[in-house]
Amino acid sequence: MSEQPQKHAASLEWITEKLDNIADLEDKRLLAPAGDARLVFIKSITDSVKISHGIIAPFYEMEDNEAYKDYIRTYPGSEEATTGERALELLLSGYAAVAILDQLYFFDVLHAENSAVSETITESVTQGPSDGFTENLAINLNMVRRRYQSSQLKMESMLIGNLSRTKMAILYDESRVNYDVLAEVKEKLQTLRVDILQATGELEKYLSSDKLRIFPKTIVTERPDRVVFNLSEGKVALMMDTTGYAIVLPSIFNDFFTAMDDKIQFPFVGRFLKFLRVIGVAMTLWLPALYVAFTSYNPEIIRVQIALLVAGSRATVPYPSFVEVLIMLIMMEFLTEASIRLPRAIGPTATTVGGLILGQAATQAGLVGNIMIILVSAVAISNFLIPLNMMSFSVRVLKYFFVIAAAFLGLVGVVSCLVGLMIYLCSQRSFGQPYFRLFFMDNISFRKFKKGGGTDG
Amino acid sequence: MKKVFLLLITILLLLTAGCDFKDIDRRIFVVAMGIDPGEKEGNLKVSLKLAVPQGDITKIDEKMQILTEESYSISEALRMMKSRVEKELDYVHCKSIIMGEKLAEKDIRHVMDWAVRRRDIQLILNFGVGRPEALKVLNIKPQSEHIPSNSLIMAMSGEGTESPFIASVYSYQLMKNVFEVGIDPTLPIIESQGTEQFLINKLALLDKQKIRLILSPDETRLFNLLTRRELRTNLPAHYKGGMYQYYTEDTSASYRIFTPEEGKPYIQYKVKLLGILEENSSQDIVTHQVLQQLSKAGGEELKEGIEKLLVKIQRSGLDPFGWGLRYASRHFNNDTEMRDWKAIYPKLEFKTLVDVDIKYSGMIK
Repeated sequence: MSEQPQKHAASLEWITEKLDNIADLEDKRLLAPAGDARLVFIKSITDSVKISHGIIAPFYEMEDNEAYKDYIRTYPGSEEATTGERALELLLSGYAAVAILDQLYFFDVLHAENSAVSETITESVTQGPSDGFTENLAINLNMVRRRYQSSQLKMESMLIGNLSRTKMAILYDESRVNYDVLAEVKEKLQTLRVDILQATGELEKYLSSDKLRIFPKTIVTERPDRVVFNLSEGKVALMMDTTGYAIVLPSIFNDFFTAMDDKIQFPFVGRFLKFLRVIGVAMTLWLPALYVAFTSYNPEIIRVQIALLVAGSRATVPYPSFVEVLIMLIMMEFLTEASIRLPRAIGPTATTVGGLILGQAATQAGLVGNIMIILVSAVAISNFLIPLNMMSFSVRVLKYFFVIAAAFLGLVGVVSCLVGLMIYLCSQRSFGQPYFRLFFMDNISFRKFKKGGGTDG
Repeated sequence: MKKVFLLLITILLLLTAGCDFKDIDRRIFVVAMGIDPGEKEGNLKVSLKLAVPQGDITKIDEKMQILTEESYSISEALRMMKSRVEKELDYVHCKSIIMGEKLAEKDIRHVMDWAVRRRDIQLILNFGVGRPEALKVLNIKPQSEHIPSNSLIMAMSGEGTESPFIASVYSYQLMKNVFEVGIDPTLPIIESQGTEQFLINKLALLDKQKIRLILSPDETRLFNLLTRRELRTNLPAHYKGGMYQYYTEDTSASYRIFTPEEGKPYIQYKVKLLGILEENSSQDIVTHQVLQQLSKAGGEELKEGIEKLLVKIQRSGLDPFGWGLRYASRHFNNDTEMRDWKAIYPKLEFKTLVDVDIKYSGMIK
């Protein structure tokens, strides 16, 4: 073969020296009448079946070494290393090194431990596909490609993390993507200097420059259909090996309130569901604040019957209304947080203890009013109407700002907080795209592409 | 960023000092107010009906408290009452102000001015005249009532009963009627019958200052028929010795003022009613022809009643319908029109076109 300038590097001796203290390094000499070869690989990340079938068995079956060399060289996925560093990298990423006739070849025998394609956990839908992304990038790409069979779908790959060397894939539809966004993402990824990158959410953090941001600017999703839908809308998807989530960007505010069922449902049902979500957000944001405003500043807004009811239910409560609200809201947050962390077996117990006993007992003890319990449960439930988790967490935090504003200024505070929120939302950009763009404008601007399609390649 | 936060917190803290943060359970709601003339000449007796909230909704039992104070001014009386309760008096839910009949016979303008001027009393509260006195009306506690004064609120606002005898008046309407030229205010009369019942079925017509005429229940119903749309009531029709009653499903009334060159000026009322036969004292079978005859007979009776009422009102010199205002709005000789109207008014004649259409009730024979 071609005489490569073999520096100190590409020799097996140098490699074994570098990988000195690795216990699962296998260094085997293969001897046959036809000749001999040397096989080096790391046992823990390689597939022993692939090694025995692809490398060892042919060696003993082949007549001479020259033919075996050609076999190894032409096998799909095998590589020749030019430098020693590259050789080391390949070996660490699951290749086996085969030395025949003083030549080094690298044979892909990666064995990846990953869970099988499973159901989505955080973004469930009633109808429609339920497969979610897995920890394996190849499987994830397979799921996307199967749904998006267009030559326009481009994929660029990249390695991120000095130590973790996480494989990244950047996916986009060539004919629809906004190239400014694409360039910005690539630039950000290339300049990224981190040691370990393990979760997609982490990447999201690195991509955003604003440290005090409240709203997520990128969608983190585990649904292949959502990725495909967004690709068809000209967005960029980032997928990482070792994590079951993909990032979609740029994302506007409205995207976070779209569930994948909306496309499946009848138009009116879909609109209704979306409307419900908007109301849900409004409720979870404003109800606690309005309670404070109405009970402490502006009781004239509610009807006299309700005013007396609230006054009656609050008769035994010793603290001002905003303390009452904060106590109950924080109690509810404890419950929500705890039920995520709790082992499955104890989960229902916690809900019963927390929800029923705590709520009932708190009213009977006179710590909080009856109305408060209804309000808190309405807030808790409506918060989870938001289909994407990141947004629902943001909204969860935001409601406290409203409560504080209401505690200081009453209804005026709630309104000014809302105005402030609107100003903030309008000022936001997601990768150069206006964040608070109205969704019907969205429909108009993408009209030239059929939504969810993607076979115009 | 820290600076911004600090600034924000300081601003918010500064604002706290001047705000009126007061929890709902530290306020006591005044749900109705009564004002009577005081014992001393020129004094006013102000009574407040306070709603005492109940903690346990399942065992709800109405509790109310009535405070009475006499003073030369309303504001003074209210301030004096403040030191008689432990919570802050809150007037935002005050839904009715009742003036004693004796007061309304003298002057309503002082009370009305106070109610409209005061910032925390809503302009949508109902005014009424209490008979024999306002305090007696406040003391009424109907059996069916769970929230203090709720029955009064429901009756006056039309949310509950849709009685055709109640002609409620909001405080902004009262003010408008007092100050507007060409229209005179009206007030419903609330009579107390013992401590458990009230009766609202009469209407007091006022000049700009005091009560001048009181309409009977029947007249009040006709008044409502002429001023409102879709009044739900029953009206009589006598035909061939039998007494019939029909329920009005849909009513509408409109009028025009005619001032012809020759001949007398007149007001023409057009009243349209759509009714369902509700009661029949005779044993006759109701046929289509009978219904037509009934409509005619009912129309005649109604016409007679309306014309009688209009003439009665005209004789008193009052203008609760706002004819003068209508006249002024249709004429552009701004300097002289009201003088003209004053000359026209006593000479007015009334023509009434009544169109009653009684349908079959749909009973299966």
